[in-house]
Amino acid sequence: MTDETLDPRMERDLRAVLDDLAPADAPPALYDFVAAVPAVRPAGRRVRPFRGPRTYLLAAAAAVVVIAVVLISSALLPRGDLPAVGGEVRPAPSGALHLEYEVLPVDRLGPSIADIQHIQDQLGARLRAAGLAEFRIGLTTEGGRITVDIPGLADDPAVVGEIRALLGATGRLDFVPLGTSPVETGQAIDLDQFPPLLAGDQVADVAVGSDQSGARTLDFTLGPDGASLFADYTAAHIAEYFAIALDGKALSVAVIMEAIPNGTVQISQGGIGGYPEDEAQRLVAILQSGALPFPLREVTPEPEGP
Amino acid sequence: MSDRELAIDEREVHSRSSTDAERADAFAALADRRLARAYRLAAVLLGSEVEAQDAVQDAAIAAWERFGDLRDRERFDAWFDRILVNRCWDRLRRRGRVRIIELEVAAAPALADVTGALAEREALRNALAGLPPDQRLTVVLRYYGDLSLEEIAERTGERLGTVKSRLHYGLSALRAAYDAAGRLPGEASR
Repeated sequence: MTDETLDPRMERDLRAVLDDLAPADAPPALYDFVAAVPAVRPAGRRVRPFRGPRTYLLAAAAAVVVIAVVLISSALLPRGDLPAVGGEVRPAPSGALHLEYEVLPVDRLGPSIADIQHIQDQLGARLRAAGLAEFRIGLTTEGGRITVDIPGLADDPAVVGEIRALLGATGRLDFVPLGTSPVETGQAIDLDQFPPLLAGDQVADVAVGSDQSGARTLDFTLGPDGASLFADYTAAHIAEYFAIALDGKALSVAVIMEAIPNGTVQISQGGIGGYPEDEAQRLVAILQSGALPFPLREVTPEPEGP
Repeated sequence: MSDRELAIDEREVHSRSSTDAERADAFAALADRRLARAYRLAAVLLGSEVEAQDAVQDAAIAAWERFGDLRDRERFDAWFDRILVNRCWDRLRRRGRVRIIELEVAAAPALADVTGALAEREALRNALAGLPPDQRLTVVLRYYGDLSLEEIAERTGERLGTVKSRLHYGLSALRAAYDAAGRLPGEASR
């Protein structure tokens, strides 16, 4: 095969298209990062290879992120009233999704009635954030199990899976400094070995956003104390690893590129489009409702035989 | 970028004794000098500045860890490029399914010159975005990076025949899109 050549006009146009894609220069933060690499990482230290998508903390422009919760489309349920909380369990109409959850103790202390009502409110908030309006959250008279009934969903396994993921997650958020030891996204993080810098209670806002390339991101805004702590930390630990962990697993692993002074943190996922829409919605719904004070275990009884 | 360009006497860098601090300085200087070009190449390869930043960071860390293996620091640029190209390649492959762009075969009447030129470049842009990772990589290294086929083979660790084949298929796809968008049908060059 001889060397491939192009028609001169097409070659000129192709080169022009490629040049258009090229930015003028690397951002200053990248220069700083590269300059810091030898100081932070002793040569010869092996890093475990990444297989999952790599995400980075980007300093958002000074703009404050406004919450804009986008509803999941296709739920097709009309807006309704708040469900009765703590009421009796009634038999679910056919086609309704029925779920039951046991509330687990923490440090051997069980939940109070107030705690259970708070959890019910949180689950309700998550469902509303996901675009569902018609549902009933109750409590079994025996065993104190939380029940969730959502009409019309039983037939769609994909949606049922989403709902389970939405309700079952405790939603504990931690910002975890990792020093020079990266972890892969999805990996469990030992929070004794890597004590968190901040917890979810320092997060004032979380919303679905987008980065410069239009990829879907999660945008966090820290409250004033958290922002200040985070600013000091990032300034002193450039080129080190950092994870945002959800329920003890790395949601996002990043390298600190620069000091983040204003508490706005944007995480993106590698791949075209960034986070898939349903995953981004679910994460925002879980995080906005706050961490459940007690974890849940699904104990939905098997349906009656045919 | 002017205030960041460093005049480096490479022989001086090369002949310094390799204490840790001097090695770190040498790496930082070489990487800094290469950074703009590396970042631009990554951005064109990946089609995203955000991903380019990630890739360059990955490459910088990997390069520093292997810096002791680089015997001839005058080869730093090509050596670093190879690390960077591999990182970009990993990212391109990890993107999953490639967007398939439907190419409309034009039975169209002649278009005005200006419209035609814009339409052709637009067609190239779309077709480029739809190329599978290996073809995109090869086309970009050839027509943006200005590397010879042998250099592309060296940077990617592939055989020369593989590089030629990928370039051939990539250009065929681009040519088809280009010709379809242009006024005149099929002006292929062989």
